[in-house]
Amino acid sequence: MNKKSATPARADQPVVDIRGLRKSFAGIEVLKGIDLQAYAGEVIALIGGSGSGKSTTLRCINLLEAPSAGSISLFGTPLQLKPCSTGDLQIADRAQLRRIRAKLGMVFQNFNLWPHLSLEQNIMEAPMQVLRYSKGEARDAAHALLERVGLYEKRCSYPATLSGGQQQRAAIARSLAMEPEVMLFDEPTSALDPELVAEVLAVIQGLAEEGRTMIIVTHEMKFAAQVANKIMFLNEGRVEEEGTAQQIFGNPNSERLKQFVSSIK
Amino acid sequence: MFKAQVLVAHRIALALFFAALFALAAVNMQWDWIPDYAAKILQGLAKTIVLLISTSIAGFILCIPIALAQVCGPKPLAWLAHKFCTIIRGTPLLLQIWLLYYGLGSIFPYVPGLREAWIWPYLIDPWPYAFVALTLSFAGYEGETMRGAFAGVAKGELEAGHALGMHPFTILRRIWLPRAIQRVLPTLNGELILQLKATPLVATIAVVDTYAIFARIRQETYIIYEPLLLLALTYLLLAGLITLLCKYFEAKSRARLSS
Ligand SMILES: Nc1ncnc2c1ncn2[C@@H]1O[C@H](COP(=O)(O)OP(=O)(O)OP(=O)(O)O)[C@@H](O)[C@H]1O
Ligand SMILES: [Mg+2]
Repeated sequence: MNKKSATPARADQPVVDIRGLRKSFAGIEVLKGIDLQAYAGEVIALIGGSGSGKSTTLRCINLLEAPSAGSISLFGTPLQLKPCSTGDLQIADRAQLRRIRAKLGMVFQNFNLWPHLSLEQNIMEAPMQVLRYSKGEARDAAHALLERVGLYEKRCSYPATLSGGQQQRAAIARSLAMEPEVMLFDEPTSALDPELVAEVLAVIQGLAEEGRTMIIVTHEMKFAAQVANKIMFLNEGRVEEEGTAQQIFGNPNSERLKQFVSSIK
Repeated sequence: MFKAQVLVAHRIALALFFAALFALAAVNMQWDWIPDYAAKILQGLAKTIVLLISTSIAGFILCIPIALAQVCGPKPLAWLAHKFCTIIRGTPLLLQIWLLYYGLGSIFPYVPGLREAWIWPYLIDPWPYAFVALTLSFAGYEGETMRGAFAGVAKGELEAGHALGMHPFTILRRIWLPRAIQRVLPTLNGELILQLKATPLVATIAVVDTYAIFARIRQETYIIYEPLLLLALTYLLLAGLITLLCKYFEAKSRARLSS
């Protein structure tokens, strides 16, 4: 496994390029102009207090949430957005969105595995339905991924029979099965019992060391400092401060960040 | 453990009671008409079963768009689907069957060219009307149940599909629908039995089902109780079969959903 270098080699174009992202829920603006660029191989941690807009930012990237304004470019292609009746922006080309989503892995706080399918089937589903893998190819890939996250023995189990940590590792494997270019994590360990957090973080750490591009929303500050090239601190829908772990935790500028940093210590 | 034992004792008592009743009935009542009508009864039974299975399947397929329209369809469609369910559930099935058979059936002869069309022989047969009425009825009830089931599937499970780039139709086919069906399985048993018990109504438009056969037996033999008892037993057995089948699928799905 390659060790991640401190500053990853930058292609001149960011793979994720978000500019001026705004989002309102029922007239209340929760994102007030977010700019976020992620270059290939970069790991970005989004931190901030509850309700600061971390999840909403992440969900706008793959349009699980419709942004109200702003532009989103992924892998060098701008998403074609058009205004819809609710006043939010809407994808103009649904096939384009599906192609792009297939390259964006998303890991949810609540795992969201499909309870009616075994782990193996959970992982095989999208490659077969979206990438048109044959059953054999999909199964081989699923087995390799389950092996990697330490769940090969559980391949025929159903999600309800597994611990939260096991479910989350399976959910990560499900995302990886699509061979995504960027992974999005929304508080992957927040729903877990404390003793199960480490096993999931270890898997994510492994992905970071492989040089994968990732955007991680997390409350695990030690983990963020360890794994991220860049940390962005969100406050009330704005990026209040961004920088390396050292800058953010060692030398915070804004009052808010100082408060936040001292509150978590 | 204790509970299971009580249940066993209670079952034995019940079995003995019915065995005694059965013996009494066999000795004291008149059953000699059965051989004469056995073939007819089996034909009627086949019709009841075919009607039950075909209308349940067709009704269930039809209920999917009706339920989906209410959960995520455009307003006018949602309204229409909701009204359909309300009307079907709010009016007697007997009335629906008669409206279809006598209502539509009396309009068709005036449609120009229809009398010469290939479809005409089917239109004067009561079968298609029975099929359509029972199908619509099942779709109306299941449309309401499935609406709740679709709405009850965790949003995150569908989002996971969207996030992986799956087509909305694939998500429906592979995730949303199977998960919704899993949720309705416990109620499906009761609704299938209700559907079974609704089938005798088609005898009123001259479909010769199980009930119609037994009605004829009573008319022809002047025997009052025995045919009714056998008829009740027949429906009870069919209901039991439905329950067994449903329990099997339920147990299978529950094994997956519980830790
Ligand atoms: N679907 C929604 N409808 C209405 N308001 C919403 C919705 N989703 C989020 N919000 C609001 O938007 C704001 C930002 O929410 P968001 O979930 O992005 O915060 P967060 O930073 O992820 O917080 P947490 O750490 O608690 O997860 C909150 O005030 C929240 O109440
Ligand atoms: Mg959140």
